[in-house]
Amino acid sequence: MKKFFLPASFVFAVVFSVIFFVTPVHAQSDSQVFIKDQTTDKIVELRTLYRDQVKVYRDSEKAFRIAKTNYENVQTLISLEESVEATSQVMLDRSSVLITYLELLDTTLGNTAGVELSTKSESLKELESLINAIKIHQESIKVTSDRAGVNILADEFQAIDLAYDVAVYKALALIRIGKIQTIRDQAEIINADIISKQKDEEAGALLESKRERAYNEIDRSFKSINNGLADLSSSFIDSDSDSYNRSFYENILKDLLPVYAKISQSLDHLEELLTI
Amino acid sequence: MNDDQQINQTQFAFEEPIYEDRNVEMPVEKPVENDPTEKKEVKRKQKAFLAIVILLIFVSALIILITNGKETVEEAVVNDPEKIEEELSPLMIRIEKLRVELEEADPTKQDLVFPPVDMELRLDLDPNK
Repeated sequence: MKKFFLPASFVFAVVFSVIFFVTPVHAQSDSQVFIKDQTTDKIVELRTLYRDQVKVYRDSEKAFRIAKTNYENVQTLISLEESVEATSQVMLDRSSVLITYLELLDTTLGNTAGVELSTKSESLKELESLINAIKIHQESIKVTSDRAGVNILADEFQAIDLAYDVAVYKALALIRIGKIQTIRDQAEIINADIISKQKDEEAGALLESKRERAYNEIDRSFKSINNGLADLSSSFIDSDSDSYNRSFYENILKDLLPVYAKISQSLDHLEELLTI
Repeated sequence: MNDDQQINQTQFAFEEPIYEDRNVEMPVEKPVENDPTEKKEVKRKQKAFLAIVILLIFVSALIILITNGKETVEEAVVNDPEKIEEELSPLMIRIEKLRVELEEADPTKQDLVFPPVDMELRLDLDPNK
């Protein structure tokens, strides 16, 4: 048996090393290679922090619900103490989530090109002042330890809640429009580069007229995209500051869809143009 | 001494039937019977040898198969984006990158979703409601 064990183990070693060395590394998918990492390190850090804080908040919200129900059922002083403590904790954790989310929006919007500068700066200021307001609220929670105090904090938070919706949905809309606008701008630069390259090439009259027709068609697409984006911008500017809410943001996304489809078609046309 | 006296008498006794044209059984050395445990050992060694040979054939077949597979993968790697980037023109690469950015900006994709928190947390009921 021992005599057999030695050659057998050798054979298995050969098999495993062959499998290990010969098995190829899987080729990366197209998207993995082409994806341009636009997010800065700060955005990545904030996203991770945000995710962790949401987890913590969920746990403390659960604890708050249990403590509140327990107090409503038994009505003891101890259960009241526990429910006040749980309320303070969940309010603190909620503040942390809200602040990090605002910081994430602030960094993303600051990083998004294609947004008109004054509108962008206005939105950034709103986000920053809201961050400060929530930080003050957070400090108040830390020094509150009685039932009346947590109820007052809940009342005070209602004002923050309203401002929060407005600032967030405005920033989100600007980020979405800005991204599409940036892509359109880049596509137009590529189009100009293709035209300039093809003008330098020697081509017959037939090919030149074919290219000319393609240039005109692509130009028409860009004009249509510009009109779509201009409409969106004007509807954004004309809106009252109070109207920046969830439904406003959803309408912006809906209006962006045809523009998005048009840009996608323009990219197809640019690819085709390169082959003409 | 006479030569006849030197003849081996015993040998003659055995040869005698030959001269008489008779079949005689010559003394044959009996084969020594093998030990049964030794026989088993031989068989076991043969089996082990056979197993190693089969295993080696299997390994060789496996190596050939894997090597062929690797060649196929190498052929497939031609479609690798890095290779494509080398083959594509710089303008085409820029368009492809823009297409990826466009996918990320898809309005139907949810990104930066509003925080999933309760904005109306209260210990006691709101007296205004």
